[in-house]
Amino acid sequence: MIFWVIATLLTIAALASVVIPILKGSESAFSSLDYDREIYLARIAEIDADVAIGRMSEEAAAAAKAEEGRKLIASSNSQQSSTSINGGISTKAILLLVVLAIPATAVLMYLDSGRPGFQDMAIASRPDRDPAGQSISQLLERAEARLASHPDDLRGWAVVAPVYLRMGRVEDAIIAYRNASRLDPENNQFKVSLAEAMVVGAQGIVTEDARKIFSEVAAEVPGDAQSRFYLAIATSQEGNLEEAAKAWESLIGDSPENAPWLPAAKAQYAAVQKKRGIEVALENSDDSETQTPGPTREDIEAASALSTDERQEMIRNMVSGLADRLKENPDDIEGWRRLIRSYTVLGDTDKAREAITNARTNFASNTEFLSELENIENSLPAAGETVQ
Amino acid sequence: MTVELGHYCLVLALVLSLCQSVVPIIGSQRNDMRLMATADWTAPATFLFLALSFAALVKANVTSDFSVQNVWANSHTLKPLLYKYTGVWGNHEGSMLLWVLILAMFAASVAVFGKNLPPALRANVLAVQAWILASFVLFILVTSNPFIRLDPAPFEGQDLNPVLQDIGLAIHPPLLYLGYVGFSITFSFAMAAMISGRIDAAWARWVRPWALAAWVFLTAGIAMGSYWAYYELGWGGYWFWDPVENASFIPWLTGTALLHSALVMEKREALKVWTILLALITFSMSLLGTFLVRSGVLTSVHAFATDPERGVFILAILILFIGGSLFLFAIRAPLLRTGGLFTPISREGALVFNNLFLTTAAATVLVGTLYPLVIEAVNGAKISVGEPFFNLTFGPLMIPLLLAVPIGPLLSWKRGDLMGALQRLYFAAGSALFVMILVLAFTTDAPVLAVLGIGISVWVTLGAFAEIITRSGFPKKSLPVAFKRVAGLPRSIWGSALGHAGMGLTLLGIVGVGAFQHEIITSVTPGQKVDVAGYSVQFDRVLPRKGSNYIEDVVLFNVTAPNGNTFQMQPSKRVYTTRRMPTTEAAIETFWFSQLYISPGDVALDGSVTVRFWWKPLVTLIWLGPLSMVFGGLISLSDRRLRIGAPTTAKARRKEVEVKASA
Repeated sequence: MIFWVIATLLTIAALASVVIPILKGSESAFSSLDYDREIYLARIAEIDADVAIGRMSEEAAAAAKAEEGRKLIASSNSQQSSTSINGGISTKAILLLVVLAIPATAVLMYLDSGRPGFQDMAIASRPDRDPAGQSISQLLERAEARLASHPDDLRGWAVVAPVYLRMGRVEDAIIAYRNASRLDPENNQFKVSLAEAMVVGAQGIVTEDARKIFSEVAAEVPGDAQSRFYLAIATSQEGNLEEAAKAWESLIGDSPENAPWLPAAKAQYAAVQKKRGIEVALENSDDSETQTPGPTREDIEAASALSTDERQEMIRNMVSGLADRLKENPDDIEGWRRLIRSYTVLGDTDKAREAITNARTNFASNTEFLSELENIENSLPAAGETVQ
Repeated sequence: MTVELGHYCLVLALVLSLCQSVVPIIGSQRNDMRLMATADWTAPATFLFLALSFAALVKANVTSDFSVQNVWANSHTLKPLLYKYTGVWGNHEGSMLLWVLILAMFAASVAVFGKNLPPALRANVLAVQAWILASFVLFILVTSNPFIRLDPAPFEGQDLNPVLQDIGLAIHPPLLYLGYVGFSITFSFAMAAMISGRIDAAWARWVRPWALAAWVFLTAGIAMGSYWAYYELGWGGYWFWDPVENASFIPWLTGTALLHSALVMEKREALKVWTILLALITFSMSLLGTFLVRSGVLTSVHAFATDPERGVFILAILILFIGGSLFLFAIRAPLLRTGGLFTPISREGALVFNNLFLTTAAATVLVGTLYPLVIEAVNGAKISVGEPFFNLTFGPLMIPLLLAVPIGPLLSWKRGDLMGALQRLYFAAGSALFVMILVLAFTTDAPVLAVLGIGISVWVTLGAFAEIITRSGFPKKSLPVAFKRVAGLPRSIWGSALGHAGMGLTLLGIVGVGAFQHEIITSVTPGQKVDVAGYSVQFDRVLPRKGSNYIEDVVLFNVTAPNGNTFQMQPSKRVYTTRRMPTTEAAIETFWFSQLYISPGDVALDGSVTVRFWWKPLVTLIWLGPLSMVFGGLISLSDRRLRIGAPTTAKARRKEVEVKASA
């Protein structure tokens, strides 16, 4: 509505720019000869000035002035023949036509592609952003702003790096890990993570760059499972299957039973052996069918088994932010699901139970969701027990 | 709502300019002052509506309103604020809106500042300007509307092309458009003159300040674009004979010719037909350039065929205006009476010489630009016409022109004295010879052509001031007298001197870089030193860094100058995260007129970096020359002799005298 009010005012302004000069009228005070005379006078003054500075001789000036005079006479002769011609369409008819045509054409043309009711959507004023997404990006923004001014903040780089990796911003993660290892060159974990990010960036290929870093770390810490894992992958990617099989065997042999990388390592081993024509039985045999030689993203995440305190802290921050938002806006089922899942993953059973209770009170009429909550609650460990 | 209002304002501008296309012409044909006067009102009003529309688009960009398709496609929330502003015209739709805004601005300034023009001429000029404006606003609304909305609106945009995320985008396109589009006014003047049938010396007098203003902007825009490409693209070159560059250079050549031939038409009423034709051609070349750049034919003739809507539309505008104006010209030209007579050796003759060479050069560049397109259309082969072609054709054309530049202004009208003119240029010729001998003495492997080029540039630069020195009377008169005389000279003399001297300076820069630059491409490891023309450049280390919307590897160099000064240079390789596009940020250090230029390649595994080092002697003169030309143009524009008063009534004249008397 306001749009049309303003549009109307603008249209009136446009109309005024045509109507006012026609209605006001202005008599023709000067003939075009007057304008020619101005030029004549300007030229004469110019010639006089040229003579004064010695740019033109007196005779040349006289000739030039005579020429200017001839031009003036010639134009006055040609002016006499031009008289005003009247007739044809009258001024009033033009006025009427303009007053009708301008608004009609403008509105029709605008409605052809315009969206009169469509409000502006400046990014800052949009409330409907995904709450979880906003939380991560807000946290990140804060961290990035700090890092921009404090590029030597080791802790900052260490915190943002895994987050970038999770978000798929691999180049940023590589930069962050590179900075972390620049600031703490003794820390092998940063080096390994850097190389790992490079592998992710190269779509699972262990690049020459990454391989170098892994070998460096493996040389320093011979037992480091993570670098051995990737070096084994690199060996099989090079097509050196025999060596690869050996590497996998020794890694699997050295790993504890519950090591998170073990299933992935076994699958890799099976794949290598299959290529060599040897079948290997796996616990989850369906895996071996789908497994491709390169490690999947899950492999990488399992193998990384990275759980620094900083990361935990960051996740906790995000979760408490989500809980606060749900207090204000409790109708968000997906939000509740995410909150309960987060608490469960973090091992905070009490908080999870509390969240389930709160969710129940908010969705007392939603039987489907209630039974879902029931299931989740049953799967939680008994009170007081902590989950690893 | 502002977005939609911006859209509506754009439509209103179209409707008003349609009205302005017709009503004032009816007025001028019927000698009806009221109808003619509408143009004086509608032209500023149209400009105002387009300015509002433009402001709405700016607001949408700055506030990251991704419900606007154009903003979504070219912006990003993390983009630095400056580029949220400049990004408005860093894309097709927005730049076309800027194009029409400037078109309307020139019309509005004729309406406001053109009171010295006879009403019929002014009404016709504004009507023709409105034809162009209406065509292009219609083009925007039909094929390139920047106000198309997205529903639902995305939460993040696609970011601006990284190469454009630079301060250069803030200045270069607006300046270039001011020049490009500015020549629309001379086109409109030429059309108006042909419509009314009055083509005489007065017309040239009226059109000259407008042509000069457009020329000043175009000169500045091209020079700025050249410097931008030089430091942003990281190739170390300043001019690539790229079709987009040529598209702006051709109008500059014909526009420069127009500037000179209008002088002859004004002073001697000769070259009338030719001057009118140049006015038509100059803007036609601007239109052709717009077509080449905006239709997509440059990337490939076939790209044009797959999405023909825009290209065909501009092609239609092109044919309509070029064809229509040449048709009118064909009817009117034979009716013109010839003007004043002159001998070949005269100021007029020199200006004809200038026009011959400039237009031939323009034709050469045009052929070189269009030839690959024609070849591709005929047999599908992709060829590129580059530097060798232009060096062989354009270069030789410039030599006689430059040799003649200092002589022209010293010849008098009608019948000149060549020997007298040359006598006044002894010192310029002497200095040129002296410098050439110096160059031969102090360099070992200077190419002959380079030495000649330096000689010519000294000749042009110093010779440009010959008239001023002659007028000062120095050394016959004492210095104070000479200074007084120089101060009293009309500004237009200074304008042409600075303009011509700028040509010489540019040539000196081009020859300096072309013949004497040092280039070293080598792989360096941390701590390694490279000697570049006496500067010891040591590679320090690579520092990863993060910008708001890019990440970069900064390559740090510690440089020791021959005089012992040390400083750091920080070129970098950037990757813009949203578009995944890499750019090279060269580091440039200026010493007087010369520059040290470092452009890094990728960082290798072992920490070594392949780097290109250049020592570019006198390179900045390439852009200081145009700056001198622009300055000269502005001084000429400020010459009050260029201004002609509007007629005043006897009463007003008396009043003026009284005011002066009482003051």
